[in-house]
Amino acid sequence: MKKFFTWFSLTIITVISIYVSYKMAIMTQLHPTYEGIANLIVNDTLQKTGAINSCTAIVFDFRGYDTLGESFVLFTAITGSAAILRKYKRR
Amino acid sequence: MLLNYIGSFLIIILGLYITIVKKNLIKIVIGMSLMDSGINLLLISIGFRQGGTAPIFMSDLKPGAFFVDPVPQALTLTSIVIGACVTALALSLVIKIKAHYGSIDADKVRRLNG
Amino acid sequence: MKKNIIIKNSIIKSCANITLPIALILGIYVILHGHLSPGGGFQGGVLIAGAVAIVFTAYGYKEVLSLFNAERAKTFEDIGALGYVFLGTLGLIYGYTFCTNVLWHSTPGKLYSSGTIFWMNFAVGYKVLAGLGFLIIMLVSNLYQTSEYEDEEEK
Repeated sequence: MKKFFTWFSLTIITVISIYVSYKMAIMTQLHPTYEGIANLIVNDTLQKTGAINSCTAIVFDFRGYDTLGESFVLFTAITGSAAILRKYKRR
Repeated sequence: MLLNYIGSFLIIILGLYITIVKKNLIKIVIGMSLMDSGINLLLISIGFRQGGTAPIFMSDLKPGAFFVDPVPQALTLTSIVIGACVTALALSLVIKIKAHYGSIDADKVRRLNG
Repeated sequence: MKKNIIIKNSIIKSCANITLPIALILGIYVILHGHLSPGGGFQGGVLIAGAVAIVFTAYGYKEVLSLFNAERAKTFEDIGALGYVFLGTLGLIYGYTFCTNVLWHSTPGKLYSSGTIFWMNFAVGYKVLAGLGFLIIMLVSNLYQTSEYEDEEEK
């Protein structure tokens, strides 16, 4: 009974995802976006910052607040892992 | 980019199947990491423009050339780091479960031991 | 078979002697040229933290304990995180928004061209390097919980 439910639901999810990927591939070819926010960022990269690499300028200058949040995640993961794997010496 | 979308969806579904069905704790952690990889592939494939190059201003490219979208690439960097941190915490929990209960079978670690 | 173990150890040690300086120099190169070619702080930090795993594979657990100090690695990670926050609020002090480039006035394309992005690469690379090295040492030291290593540490 449990095995039947598992295979049935996974098959439905596979069929729906193949249909969604067909729709996504057709839509990005008919209506490409050329005036999004990425256009504004790439046009201003050499003027506002001095970096040649656009990805580094986005990570550290235009979206620096997200990198601050990611450093929170790194810090919490390492502190939590060190708290779990401590060795208590028995006197 | 039809092949990229279908491939990423298949990897996500495979990771979901491993997380649900298998009983070994380490196999469940491997399934979680596989789902992270599938979602990162889907994020990068969305920002593709036909006929564009890498978004780096080389010395011979004028600043008016046609680039692919660099914003999803910058946010995928953050997602990869978060996936690695979740895997590290889960593996350290598995080490402590093995030392406390004696086995890593998901059917045998049910009750709380004092 | 003792003869097999001796042959395997010398092969792994010779390969690690060649690979370790290459990995360290490649990691520093990727961190330094973060604004000129693909790479940056995170990628270079992970490359340098792989040196701990190479030393553990080739030389054993006692060599890792004598080379790396776990307490100092935890302090270095805090210094890297505080450095990134300080460089971010430098934009606030000058009058613009958070994380604005306020120190650049050179030609793009040279090694020291973009202002705060160059120092931010260092801060983030330092944080990832110290944090992941500390994590690998903690995960490895949990495999050796026999009493013989604790007796040798107390001597």
